[in-house]
Amino acid sequence: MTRETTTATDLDPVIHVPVRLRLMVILTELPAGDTISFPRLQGLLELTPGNLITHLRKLEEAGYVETVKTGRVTTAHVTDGGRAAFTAYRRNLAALLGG
Amino acid sequence: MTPGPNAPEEFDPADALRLLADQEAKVRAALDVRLHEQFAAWGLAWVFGLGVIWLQVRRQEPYAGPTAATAAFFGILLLIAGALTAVRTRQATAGISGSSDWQGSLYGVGWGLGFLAHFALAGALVRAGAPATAMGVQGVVGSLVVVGLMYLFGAAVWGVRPMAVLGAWLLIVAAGAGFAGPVTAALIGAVLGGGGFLAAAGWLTVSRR
Repeated sequence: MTRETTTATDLDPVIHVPVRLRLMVILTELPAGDTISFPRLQGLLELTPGNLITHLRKLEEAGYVETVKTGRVTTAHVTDGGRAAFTAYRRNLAALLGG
Repeated sequence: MTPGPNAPEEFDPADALRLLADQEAKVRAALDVRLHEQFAAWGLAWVFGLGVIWLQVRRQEPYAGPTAATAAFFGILLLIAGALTAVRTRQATAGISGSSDWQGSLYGVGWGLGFLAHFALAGALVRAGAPATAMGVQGVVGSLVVVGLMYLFGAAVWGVRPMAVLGAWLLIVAAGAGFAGPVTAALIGAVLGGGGFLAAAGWLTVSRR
């Protein structure tokens, strides 16, 4: 019988990137059902619009985030799958570092 | 092909954990309405505003109520506390909408309607010929009732224990203050009402550490 160990490869590559990790922290800190506007996200992350869009798109492609454009305002929120993926990422990170 | 600057293998897991904790602290600070500051501002407004009113009315014989100047002084202090509350809430919630937006809006409307009803009752009592002593009691007790119920409502929505205790405390104070008459009611509002706010502010400050 082999004992399962967590390795760096178990860390979700979609989340395990500095900017996207910070993005996921912000989005998962919001209560379920809440969305955050693009300008507020940009301010919190101190990113250029282009950079933010690139990383949001990666998360959106993975099904972790949804963006909604209403009129001139774009908002983002984490999906249930995104919350679950972030929880798994945290768990794997803690396991990898012996936490 | 060389890995890009954001390639997973270049991001050390220990750095990721540090970044996660750092970002978590930053976002919590950014979304914080700083309730301890709000309670401190309201507490000081009640202590000094009602305190000055009590100093002015305590030797009145017969009781005539606060002058326009002392009432305005209390009003200005309440406006300052209200402005601080609005600024802190706006800073924390800017750009955020959804369920909490609805809860926050309903809470804000609750305050407005609560005080509208409070002042309407005062007007109706004056119209019905209520004496100055009754108006003095209504002014303090009515405010305590509205504020106490609103904080219980807020605590039910956001689960903030000091807010729940403050709400319950203000209602208990309201239940007894009126029986002491309008002069002592003002003193009770300043000391036990304003003091309740300051105690809740202290509790929140300590629990943040």
